[in-house]
Amino acid sequence: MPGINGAITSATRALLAQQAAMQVVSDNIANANNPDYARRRGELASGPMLFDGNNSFGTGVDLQRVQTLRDPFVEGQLQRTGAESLRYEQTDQHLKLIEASLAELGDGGLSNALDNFWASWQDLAADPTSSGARAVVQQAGLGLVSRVRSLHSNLTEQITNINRQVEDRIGKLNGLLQELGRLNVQQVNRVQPGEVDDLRAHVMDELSKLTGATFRQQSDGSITAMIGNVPVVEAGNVRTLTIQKDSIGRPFIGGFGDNGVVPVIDSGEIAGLNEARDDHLLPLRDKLDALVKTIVTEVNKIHSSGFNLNGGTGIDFFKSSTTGMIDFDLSDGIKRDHRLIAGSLDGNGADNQIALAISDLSTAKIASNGTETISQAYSTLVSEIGLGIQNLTMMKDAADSSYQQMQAWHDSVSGVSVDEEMTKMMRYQNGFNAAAKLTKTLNEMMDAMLGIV
Amino acid sequence: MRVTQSGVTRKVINTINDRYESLSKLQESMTSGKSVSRPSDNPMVTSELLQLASDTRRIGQFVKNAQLITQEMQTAESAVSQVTEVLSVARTKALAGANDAMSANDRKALAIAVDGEIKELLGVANQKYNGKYLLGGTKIDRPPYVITTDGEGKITAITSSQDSVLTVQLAVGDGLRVDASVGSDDLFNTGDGDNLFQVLLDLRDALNNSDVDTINGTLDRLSIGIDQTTSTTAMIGARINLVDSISQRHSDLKTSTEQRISELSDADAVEVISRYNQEQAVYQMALKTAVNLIQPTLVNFV
Repeated sequence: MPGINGAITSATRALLAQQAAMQVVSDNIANANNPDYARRRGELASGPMLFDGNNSFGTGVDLQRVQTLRDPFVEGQLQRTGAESLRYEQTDQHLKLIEASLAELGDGGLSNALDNFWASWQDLAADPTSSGARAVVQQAGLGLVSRVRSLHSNLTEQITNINRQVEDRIGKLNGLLQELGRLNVQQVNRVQPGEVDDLRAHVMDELSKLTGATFRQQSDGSITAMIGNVPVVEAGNVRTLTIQKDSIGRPFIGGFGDNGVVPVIDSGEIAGLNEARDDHLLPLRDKLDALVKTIVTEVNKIHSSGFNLNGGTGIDFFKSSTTGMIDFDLSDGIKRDHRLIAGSLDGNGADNQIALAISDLSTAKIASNGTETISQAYSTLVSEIGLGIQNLTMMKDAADSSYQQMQAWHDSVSGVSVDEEMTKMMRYQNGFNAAAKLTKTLNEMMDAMLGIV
Repeated sequence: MRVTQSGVTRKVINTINDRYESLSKLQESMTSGKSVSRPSDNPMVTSELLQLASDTRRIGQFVKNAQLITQEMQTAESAVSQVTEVLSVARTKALAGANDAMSANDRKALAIAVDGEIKELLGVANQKYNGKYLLGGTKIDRPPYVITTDGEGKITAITSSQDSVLTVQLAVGDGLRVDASVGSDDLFNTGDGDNLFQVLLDLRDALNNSDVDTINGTLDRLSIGIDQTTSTTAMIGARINLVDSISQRHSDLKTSTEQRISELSDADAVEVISRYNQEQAVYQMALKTAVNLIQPTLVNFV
């Protein structure tokens, strides 16, 4: 039997529902700038119907459910493109560091030091008996050594730095995997499994930034995380990664204890760091090592057959034990006394054939298995680095632009629009005012009825 | 599509960053005057630039060597002309001595003059330039000729101190080496084991002994010597010309190489400035519209 009591109940429920909806609005506004937050929408639904035999009557309104607006597909794409972009960024940054320490196209580069070195032999050839010209050769040699050494220490430092960063990130990754497992358990233990909450979204985001991990939501609400097709988190089960090191100190991820499967990290920051080291820095170091060894062998071969100012012969110019940039140096004798630098082939003071032969090495095809000159081989290395940076910048720009597009898409699904929330606020305020007015009117009606008594 | 404040803000930040980045790149190339200042700016051009820079440095060294050779050759040239002078004086004396009208005493006087010329020729042969024996070839640390004297200080023989004289070479181009010295052999040896000193010594002794036949004989030998110095002078002249033309060619090459470097790496000022202005206008528009767009929301009107 419909009546004033039913109306009062309806009005009260309306008041409560508007307040609840208002709370959703204020939550949205409060989190407008929180990047992990997905906007919520309160869904109002009318209460159950009452039937008095002739008519049906409504019983007011309820805030039936608060829905979080997330699109798993968009979020997956966002994570994928974000991881890609970070991967390229890491590689790009490290290449740019190396480009800076090569210092080419300026005066401080290795090519300049090399040219100076060859030129100093020409000077000696022009004045073969001079002790001063030998001092110049010695200094030019030392200049070359110090340039090569500093390049080597820069490269090595950078490689060590990358190794450390990879280790740090794997540590962080393990922490995140544990956290995801814990959150999964919490979610499954809830009475009613709901959507992915903000905290888990954040953890997933971080995981994909590091490794390009992908995620799948299971029917019980838990998230399965995969790194390169290997599941690393399934419900509450977490497989953390162990760090091992290879012979040259590169950290890599060992297989899982239970099945020996090794996940391949092919995106995200860790992949970018590994690529910078394995595809660029290490090959560059190897090639420079080979180049330095060629210089040492060829110069020594000629130098040791010549006679020095003291009439001696058979002395190496560079340390013959050189294995690469790391121990590249002038031989002890030459470092101590520049008079030991040989210029003469036949032992006569003014003969300059050794000096000429060494300076001729600058245009001899002795590098890259006899196909290039030293400076050609070196400039190829430099332009390879430049090319690498250019390619990476291009790929990074492409990844960035699809990431930005995905972000715009994600914003349009999950982002908070303050304008929208303001309109809703006004709507719920009006609704609340109206319900309050209704309650007041019903109250007056009730008073009138009681007055009859 | 739903557009949200955070989306707009993000887009604004991204575009402003992009514009600012290209502005800073343009600014960099304006202040450095270079369009390529790092290998990654243009990897293709980089390897050419490195090669060209190395080329200019090498060519510069060749030009320096060529100048050095010219200098040495000019000094040698004056030495050769001194030799010519000595020989022609000796020839005059020999002609006079061969005259039957000459008395033995007159010939003795001529012999004294010839003895003076011998010493002068020895001075030329053993002269030093820049602290080194000019005509010593690769053995510049000792005099090319040594004298033997008798008890009275009279020169009895002058012999070469070296079995063979190698000339010093310098590089004036890739694989191109030029003799940078004149060896004493070329100048004083007249072949068949004979040398100019021996000719003059024989002349002196013949004059002292009034041996007219031998005097006549030395006249022929002197002619051979004079011919040889003439051809040495011609050879030196030719070498100076050769080195000059090589160094001229190198200078031209250096200029064109430097021009190529500048073409490859220098910034085109007009283009950079106009692009800078364009980018600046866009940047300022981006800033202005961003402020207008981000500031108001419905909040301002509630």
